[in-house]
Amino acid sequence: MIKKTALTMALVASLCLLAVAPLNPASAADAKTNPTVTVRLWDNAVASAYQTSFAQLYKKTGIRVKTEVIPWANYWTQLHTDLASKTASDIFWVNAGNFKLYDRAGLLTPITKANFGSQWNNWDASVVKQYTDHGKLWGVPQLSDPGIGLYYNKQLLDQAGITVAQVNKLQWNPTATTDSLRSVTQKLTRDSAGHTAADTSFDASKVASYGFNAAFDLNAIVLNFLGSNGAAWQKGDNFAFDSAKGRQTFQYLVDLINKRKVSPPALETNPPAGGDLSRDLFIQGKMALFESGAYNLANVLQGANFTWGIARIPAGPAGAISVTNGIVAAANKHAKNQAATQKVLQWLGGEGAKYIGAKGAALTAVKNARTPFFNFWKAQSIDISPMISVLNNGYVQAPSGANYGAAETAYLPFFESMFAGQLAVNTGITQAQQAANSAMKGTN
Amino acid sequence: MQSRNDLALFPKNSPTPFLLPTLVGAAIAVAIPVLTLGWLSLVQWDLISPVRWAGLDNFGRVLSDAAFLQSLGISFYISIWATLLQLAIGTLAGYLQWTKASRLVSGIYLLPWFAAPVAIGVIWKWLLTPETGILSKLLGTRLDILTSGSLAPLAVASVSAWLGFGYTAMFVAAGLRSIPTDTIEAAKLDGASGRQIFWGVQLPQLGTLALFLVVTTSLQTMGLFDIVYVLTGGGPLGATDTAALHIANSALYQFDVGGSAASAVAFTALEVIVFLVQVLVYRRLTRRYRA
Amino acid sequence: MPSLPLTRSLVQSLLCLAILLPLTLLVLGAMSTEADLLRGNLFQPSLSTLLDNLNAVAWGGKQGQAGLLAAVGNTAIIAAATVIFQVGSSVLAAFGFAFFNFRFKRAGYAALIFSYLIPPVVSVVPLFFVATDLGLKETALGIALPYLLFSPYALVMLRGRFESIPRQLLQQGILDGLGPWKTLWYLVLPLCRPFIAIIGLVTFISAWNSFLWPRLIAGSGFPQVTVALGALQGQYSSHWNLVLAGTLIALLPAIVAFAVGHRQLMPRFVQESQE
Repeated sequence: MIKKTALTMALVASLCLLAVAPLNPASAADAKTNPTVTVRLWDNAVASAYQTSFAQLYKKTGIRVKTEVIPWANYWTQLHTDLASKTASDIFWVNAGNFKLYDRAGLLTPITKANFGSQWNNWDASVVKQYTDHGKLWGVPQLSDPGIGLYYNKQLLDQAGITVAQVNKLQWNPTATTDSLRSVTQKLTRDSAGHTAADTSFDASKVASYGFNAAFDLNAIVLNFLGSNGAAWQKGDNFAFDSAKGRQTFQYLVDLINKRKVSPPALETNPPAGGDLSRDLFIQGKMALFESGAYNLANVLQGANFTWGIARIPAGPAGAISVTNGIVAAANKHAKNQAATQKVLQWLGGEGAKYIGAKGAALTAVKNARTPFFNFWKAQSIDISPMISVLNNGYVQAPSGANYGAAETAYLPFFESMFAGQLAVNTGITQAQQAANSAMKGTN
Repeated sequence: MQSRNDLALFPKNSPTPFLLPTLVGAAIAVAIPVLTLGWLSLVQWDLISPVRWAGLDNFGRVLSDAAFLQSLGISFYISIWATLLQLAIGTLAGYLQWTKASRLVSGIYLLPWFAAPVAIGVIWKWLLTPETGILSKLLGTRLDILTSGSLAPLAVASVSAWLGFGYTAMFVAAGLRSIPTDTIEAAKLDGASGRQIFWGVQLPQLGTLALFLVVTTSLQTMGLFDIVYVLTGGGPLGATDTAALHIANSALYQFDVGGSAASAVAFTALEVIVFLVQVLVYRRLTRRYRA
Repeated sequence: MPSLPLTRSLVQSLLCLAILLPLTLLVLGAMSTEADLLRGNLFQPSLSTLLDNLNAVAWGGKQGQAGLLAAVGNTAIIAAATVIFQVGSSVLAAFGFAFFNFRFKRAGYAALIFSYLIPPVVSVVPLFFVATDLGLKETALGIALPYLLFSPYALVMLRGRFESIPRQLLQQGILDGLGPWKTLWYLVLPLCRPFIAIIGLVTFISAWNSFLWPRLIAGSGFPQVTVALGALQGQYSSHWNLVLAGTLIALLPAIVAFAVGHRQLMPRFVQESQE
């Protein structure tokens, strides 16, 4: 009989365990006295900055803030399912292509002048405009990215006899037989025997270091190359890359990868996780030139053990034109503690903004909190001005549209095939644009 | 396995209390999902907007969708290879184990089977990844297996077979041991060689076991998910986009819940057909051995 | 035609090598630094590097990512509960099928077995929506509940085992006045203890290794080891030394179970299930 009792007790115990596990021991009693607000984002470096910032907020208000980082590759699908099941965090980052779907589905709380009047004037006006839909602002501006820059590995440049001045003047022209971007990146691509990509004996299966990161990376490569050739990705919400100049641009990028072999094969750099490979290769010292944004500054600083710097992105026939992006922190309509959430947002859009740039993680969209960022990089002796000055030439519109997610799902397979060299650019571009536009309109 | 349905031990008692937990479990694990799936296949829903009735539209759309049909083909292709490899190697290994048993060897064969398929997938991904994988580094040249449309499915099938052949071997060895030795001795006396004995005497006697192994291995490899997810994620360019992956992605990545559900129904129907075909073939092949 | 012993040694050595080589590389890789792995240098493994790598993945990231050790704890709880309930309910049901007669017995059994034909992903996706609606997202209950009382595999195996118990023994017990419950507790269970232990082991491993369902319903909120490992691989894609260290953590319980379970139990288990 003792055994039976023991067994019964074990059963009851595990049942209790299971039943109790869903309850967060901290949440029930704590919620009223020490409210916890959750914040979700995809950038590790900024998340660190947030934690320092929120420690200060806690001292001032007793509001506990928990940050969670979801990697970029999973961020949007997870946000979508979490919002649908009402288990998303109270505050979460959204970007231009993704917020309209959610505000129009009534899942976000708008940012009102009534609650944020004192901070409004300090916000970057272009970010405010970018995230205004149907006359309302849908998030507190957090980041306003500088333009894209060209990271370079000084050691690899020296090895190939290329100067930084040369890198700052790189040009590309899809209608010419060659250009400085092509010849320089070829010199910077070496195989394990030391042959460069310009040599006939170059072995593409034994590459020791790549010259460049040409790939289907919208933010880092595609948008900038399109803009620098006078072509467009979108006009408003409509996709417009199927133009003569658009096709030239994509053909050029595809050739860099497959003909000139200066970049890793597309099958390894295609989305969603592809951008990580190029970044890792650069940090590991296996890529000489890496075109990317300020969001990788902190990563490179932490990981690279060689001398590096930022140059201006290569200029196309229309000049060096870059994309610029704003990121906002949106408010979850179903946040548990609305009052505390609003307080955290006010902090993020005001006093707390200065922490973002303090360790160089990102450039805040709060204009009067930007100096720490610039000071940090000055102290590191990294000149990031090429990322700022490139925006003087004009800039490319960031992706937008309420159904952008569906459009991306529609156009992605075509681009993946094109970049892998398995679909002709001319046919692929037309198909991709058709698919993207019908998905955007919602007529699948 | 003898079933004495007619001679119940407890004719007067009710079996209900004994059956109840599993019945409740089946209601939760099977009935609810199946019914929900049926309903979901008839609606259109992207998780955020309200649910809309779609009738049989999803089926029409999904059954004419090249990507979905291709994923069925890919599942088939990978399953056939994985099953063939696993059963062939497993039978060979099991046969050898039967001739001389070694706990060490059978233990080593089983090591991958104890591990989570996800962990196995991670190990092989490290081995086979082109740019940063260890085999590429050790060989000095880029290994284009996972980025090759023709090799990637075979790689998936091979990893699956690598994982499972020890389990098959164990069953084969045990099955061979259960064949009375007199039958084998008699065949030997008749002058039959080892190979003849295997194909002519042992294999037919293992009838039910063979059917069991073929059915379970092909079912399991048709529904393969974890390994594919980690190893290739469905790539390159959809070459390993199995039906299971496709169904999961269309619901939770493309947010086409109705389409995903309709695909799932079609996929299950296909599996049932495959199962029935296997049973029919088996009955046909073993006709001579049944009274 | 080479002799059987020679062929056997050759084939078995090749197969064992095929299994052991990747696993050895795994251990070496987990003991190497990232720089070494990028150069293909597996020949300087060191215990301290292993500890560094393990340290990096075992504890949680500052930004809310659970560490692998926490995931091991979560998974152990769920797997243990799953074993208790699944084996318990399967033992009862197997007893019912083996020793009782009732209407729809054949049909019911066939239906239970037929559920095997449903690919996991097909039932997991709708379950996800139902469970989410019930608020079970990111909870232990959410992970365990769907399959808690249902294991057709255990049911089939146990029924076979029960039916191979010599009838006279059980009938003798009945003559001595034992009813169904007492027969189960005093006769059937003691006789089948090792077999049930193996079923328990297999169930534990199966629960431990499951990926798809926990990934959907719990993700990073209440991570299981497999899910955490998958996330680790995605996040640290070329920092293989860390990913491999994580894989070791994920595999450790399997290795323990294997060491404990396979030697005596496996051959006997297969033998008994043949009957």
